[in-house]
Amino acid sequence: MTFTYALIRSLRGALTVLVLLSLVFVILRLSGDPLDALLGDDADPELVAYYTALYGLDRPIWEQYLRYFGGLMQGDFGFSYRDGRDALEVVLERVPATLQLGLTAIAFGLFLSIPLGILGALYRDSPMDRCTMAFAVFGFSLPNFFLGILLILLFTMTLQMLPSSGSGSWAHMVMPVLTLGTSSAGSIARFARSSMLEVLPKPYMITAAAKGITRPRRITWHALPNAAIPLVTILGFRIGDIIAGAVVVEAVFAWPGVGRLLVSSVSSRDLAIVQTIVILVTLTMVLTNLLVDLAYGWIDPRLRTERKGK
Amino acid sequence: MTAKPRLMSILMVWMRVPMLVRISVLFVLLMMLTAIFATVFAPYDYAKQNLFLRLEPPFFLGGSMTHPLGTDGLGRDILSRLMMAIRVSIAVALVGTLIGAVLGTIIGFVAAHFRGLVEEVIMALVDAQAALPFLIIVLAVLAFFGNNLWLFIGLMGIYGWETYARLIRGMVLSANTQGYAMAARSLGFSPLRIYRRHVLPNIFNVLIVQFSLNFPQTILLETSLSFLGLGIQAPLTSLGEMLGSGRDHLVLAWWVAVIPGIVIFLTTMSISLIGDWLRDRLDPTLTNTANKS
Repeated sequence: MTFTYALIRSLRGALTVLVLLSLVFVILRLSGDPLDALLGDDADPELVAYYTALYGLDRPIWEQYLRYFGGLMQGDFGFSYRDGRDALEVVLERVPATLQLGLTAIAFGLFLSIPLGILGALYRDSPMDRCTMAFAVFGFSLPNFFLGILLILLFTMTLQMLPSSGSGSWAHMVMPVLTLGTSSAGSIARFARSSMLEVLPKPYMITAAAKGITRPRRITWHALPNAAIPLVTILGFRIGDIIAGAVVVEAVFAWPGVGRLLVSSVSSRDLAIVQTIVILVTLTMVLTNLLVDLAYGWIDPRLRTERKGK
Repeated sequence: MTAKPRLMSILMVWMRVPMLVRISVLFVLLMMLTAIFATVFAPYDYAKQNLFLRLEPPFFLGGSMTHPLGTDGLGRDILSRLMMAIRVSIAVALVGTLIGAVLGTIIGFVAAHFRGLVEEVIMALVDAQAALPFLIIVLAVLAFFGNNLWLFIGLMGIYGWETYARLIRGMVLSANTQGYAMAARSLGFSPLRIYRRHVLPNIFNVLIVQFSLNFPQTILLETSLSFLGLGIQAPLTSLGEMLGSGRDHLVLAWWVAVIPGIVIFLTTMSISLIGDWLRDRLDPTLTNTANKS
């Protein structure tokens, strides 16, 4: 892959971050005087003047904008209204729990969906294929909060096997991971299936068969690597689904992660925390998509030459 | 005279539709009728409490027919609430999806017409929205502005506009190079007329398909947010709000949460199945790429 391509992609990613951070700034300013939330309506005028000067609210808007960016660059994300702690610190201590949940769920989802998709494609229109498609529709249509509640009814209420909330042991992880993994597994299974179906009738597959390569070998070494290429991009998109899903799933199972922090911060309008989470999620998403894009060119040599041709 | 052959042809089409899609259409029709006539059919006022009759079971679990689906934690009739919730959830999702479709289509046309800087700005916004899970965007806006119904519906409308904008921009760009658009242009028609009378009808199928794929996603977004207590607020109800408040009674009365959950599941599944079928029928050129989304 060429260096210029990587550079252009990185610049585009940086532009996206810039646009989103500016939107956050605009929304922040549109949503009212920040001092009202901090000090209340009938605050002492002297106090208001003090904070106005402290936060630079008397400066022109473009200067506030630059200060806002300067602050972010130095890791100054403001303070939580609820306990006065540094917002970045409050959010960061929740990140490990969400990562643990999210990564396990992605692994589980892939483990479940990719074999299903491949089997569905290999045995097209068989009962196996029907199961794959039914699972895909199911995973897509069943809201994750409802799936979570059904699992609680089954495993906690009826079988009394698993705890319904909290974290700490592997037993606490089972239901959140099942819930979060299943919802994204549906669309990945469907995608893996259609990707495999596109590859199977390709000329190189026929050539491989004509050379006398056995079917299992043909599928593992010729079909799978080619079918996996488009799957990489879809995984980039799924990261967003996993993050959004984690918000809901963490709320259902009282999982102490960023998602639950976000929901409670929205309820109590703890703006600094919300802003910090939005910025961190944006950075995560843009970085993941950038990596996916770069990985795409690295995995698929054809793309590199195409670009050079341009 | 003309009514009979038309009825026959509708029947002919209906017979060729797969069974599963037919059931889905009937279910969606039932939901639409429920949404329209919610207050007419409902046996009780959906907000009327009766604290003496809390958590009554539905008739199939030994309850009585006075409250066919039982009552919730405040003794409100679940059937009546369910009808109201269907109305609110479907109306919010429908209005939201419509706003998104119209907005996205117009923006897509604008991007394709003006090209240059306008297009770059629009595509940067499209990228920005696609870069962040929409649930997070909604939560942030609700945190900053506080919750109210109209803001919430507006947010549902912003959801998905970028899919339409991207799609329509691409289709218009390719339509502009095709003979019919060029012919119309050389006849001296105004761009607006060409877009409205010539290009739009040609890409309308794609719009319909995209709409049917977006609609269930909007329902899921609204119910998720209402479930979290950050969407539709009590005393108004929605399917997600019902499920969310039913969650507190799982031990004693699981049906309070499960009944609205089943309705959400069946509704989104039916619309998705119809959407998939429509895509295969209306839009053969799209099937390859659309399977990937």
